[in-house]
Amino acid sequence: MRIVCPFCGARDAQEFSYLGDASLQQRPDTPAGAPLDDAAHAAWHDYVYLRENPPGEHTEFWYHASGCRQWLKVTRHMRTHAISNVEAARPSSLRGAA
Amino acid sequence: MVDVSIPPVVSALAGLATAGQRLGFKDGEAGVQIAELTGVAIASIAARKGLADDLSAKVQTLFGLPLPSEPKRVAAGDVSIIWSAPGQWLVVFESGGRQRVSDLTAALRGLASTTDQSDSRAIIEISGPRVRDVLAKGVMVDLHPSVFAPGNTAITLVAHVGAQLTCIDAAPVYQLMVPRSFCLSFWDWLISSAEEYGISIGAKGDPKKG
Repeated sequence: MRIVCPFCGARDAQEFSYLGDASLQQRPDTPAGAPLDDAAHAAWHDYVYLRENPPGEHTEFWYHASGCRQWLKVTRHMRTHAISNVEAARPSSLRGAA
Repeated sequence: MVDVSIPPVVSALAGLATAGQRLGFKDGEAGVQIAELTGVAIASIAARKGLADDLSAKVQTLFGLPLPSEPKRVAAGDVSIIWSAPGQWLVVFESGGRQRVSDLTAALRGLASTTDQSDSRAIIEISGPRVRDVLAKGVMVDLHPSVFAPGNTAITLVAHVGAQLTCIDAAPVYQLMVPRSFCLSFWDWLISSAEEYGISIGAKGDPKKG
């Protein structure tokens, strides 16, 4: 499998490490230190353990460890592995690119 | 008193090969020339948040070179600047040693974080008619001149070692930057891969200066 890094170009997947589902960026909003009620427990259980396994497109984080050391957001088809989109995970304003 | 004098940059490959040596296949012209670039000082610079344009302007006045915004190398005189990541670059000084890194750190204060990388990487220059055949044994990046021309650089894995590969000249000449602690392993791969074409070991730079 190859991933077309927006910074480096097409590279073999072994240069990258997979982090996980890119749609799970929002942690459950529970006050620190407060006891968790049933709803909060359920929200945290979902966030930590439950993953979608869609038979179609999936957005996921990949880290270009052996290249530009940037986090990427990749859209990959779960049946064919075809990658339809790759973008930087961070907005360009935070990347400091000249 | 602690000695605070700046130590010279030491060769990463000292003892592994001697300039003028011929290795591998002995008949005819050597297929590849391999030389370590010695006496080189290297600095990494990372733009401070929101100051990339100011940094670029400052570097332009210092060296007359732009900071490449894509994987490229630019060079003038004894200074070259190599893209490393978005907002990050390597500045390579072929003379003047670590003092140049100190001077750069002072000049870029407030605009960039500067780190001396002279002891982190070895620079190996490879050239000759069979150089692409050698690199093909460990490089996963397309090196065809139509896509990887002089000035192009790639941070990638070469024989499982993290390396920065740069095309210096269409001759072709390539430069490989590898972590010094992996040098012995990398050197073994390089020599084993190039043996069948014949290798002549060269020298670049002054190993005593740095």
